[in-house]
Amino acid sequence: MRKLTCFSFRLSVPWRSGAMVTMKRLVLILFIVVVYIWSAAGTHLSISELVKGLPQLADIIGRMLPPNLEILPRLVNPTIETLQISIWGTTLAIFFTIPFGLLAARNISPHPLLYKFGRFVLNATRSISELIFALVFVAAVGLGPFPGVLALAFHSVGMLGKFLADSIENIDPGPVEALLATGANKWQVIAYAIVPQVLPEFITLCLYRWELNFRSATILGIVGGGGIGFELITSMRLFMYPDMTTILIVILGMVSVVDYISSYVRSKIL
Amino acid sequence: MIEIKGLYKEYGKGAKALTDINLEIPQGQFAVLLGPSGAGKSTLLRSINGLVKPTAGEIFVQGEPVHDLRKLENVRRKVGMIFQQFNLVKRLTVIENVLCGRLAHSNCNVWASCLKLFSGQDIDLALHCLERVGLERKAYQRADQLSGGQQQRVGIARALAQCPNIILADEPVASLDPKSAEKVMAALQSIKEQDQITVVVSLHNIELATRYAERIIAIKDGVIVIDKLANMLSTSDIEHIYDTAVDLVEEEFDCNQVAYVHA
Repeated sequence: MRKLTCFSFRLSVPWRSGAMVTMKRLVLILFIVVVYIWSAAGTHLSISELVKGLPQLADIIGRMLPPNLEILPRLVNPTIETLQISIWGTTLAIFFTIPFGLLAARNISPHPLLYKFGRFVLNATRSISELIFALVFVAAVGLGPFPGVLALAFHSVGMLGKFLADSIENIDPGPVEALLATGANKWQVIAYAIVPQVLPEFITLCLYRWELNFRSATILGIVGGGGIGFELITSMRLFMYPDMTTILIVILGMVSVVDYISSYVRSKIL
Repeated sequence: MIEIKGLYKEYGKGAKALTDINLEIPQGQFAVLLGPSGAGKSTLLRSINGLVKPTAGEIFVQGEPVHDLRKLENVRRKVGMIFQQFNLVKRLTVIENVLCGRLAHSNCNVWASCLKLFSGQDIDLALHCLERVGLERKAYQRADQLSGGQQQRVGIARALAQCPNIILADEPVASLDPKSAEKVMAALQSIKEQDQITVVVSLHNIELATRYAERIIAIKDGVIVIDKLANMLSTSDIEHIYDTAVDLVEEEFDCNQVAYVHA
């Protein structure tokens, strides 16, 4: 500490530019307000409509109760199928994520163009919803759980790959340098200096993705992608509201179970 | 044997790190690069195994050119390196870290090694290297459970596992307490004595340097200012080095120096 700073209180900005800052803030706030009003007009946002709709809503809820528990045995197989879809959807996603994640990490990507390509693939798959993927794969391989698996796998690659690439970019470069200095080749550097650093975080992420995928798997049936979602959409179309309630309760229960398993495994790993 | 001819290194535009370095370090010599931080010691050491690409000049290690990228892994295989921050893989065990030193050797299968499979021979060698630094009992602990001094000795064992001709050590004791620093320097010295390995250490502690070095190469602002055998150093040389190091003592008044003041 060569220079001692004198403590004094003053405005963080001179007052003239302070006025500028205030102006800029006002313009920003005005802009945000305009965006909200514009979007409300576009979506016919209306409290009165909601209030008018309340009796109908109450009517539907009334018809949904009590849940029809007689259909429970019929739900066992679709529920198991949903779980199986989420397991394979996530596993395939992890499988595809590894090469694209490696390409999309700036510090180990073999070429800047491959880096761009990797990032593009990840952004593209992430921005297309699993329902749209499911529609495409139902058209390609037919109705059933398999297109659901493919839909989850393709959509999940985007998020898993982006996080994998980011965590590879954030590793401690010291061990990489040390491994290079021993003359180790690129694969050995990855196996020894990079994998041990990113693995715990990546496993956590995959478990989290599995939770999300289970939730998504419950609605894939709506577009023909198998699982409990098919039962849900069927009972909705046939106005079997008590059946619907039972299905929703089963989904809620299964989501909680999957979340519990995932967080238990996570706590055991870390 | 290390030969450095007309070495220049610039970072970006005009930021000169090294200027016209010419050095020849014979096999089996314990040489210390001495100088304040930012003098270019680290850049010089890292040029020797190609971690830093020189702007101009040539470097030969055991007669092999370091600038030939196809042969770089061959050169590095026989050059061990020790770092200020140890650079161990913290989540791996001690012995796995030491085995990293075997990765580039021909008896090590690349794909098997990626699955952490090594020959019994390599594992025996790694255990022997740990024994030499006094850490054979810690072999199966995770590296991050060891103290700083112990981690640095694992770093030395990793370098030893390479069966190197040369060991480069970049500020190996700067992050250590004086007692651990002494152990690390003594380990380097005994390795040099027993295996006739060339050891090049960068230090900023003059007292340690004069006690361990056979040859002292003082660097300031990327230029070699003194290059003499340690027993040929005159008092004026030492004063010269001390002048060089004055800024340093002010800047980096760390626990090492405090300890020597007390001693």
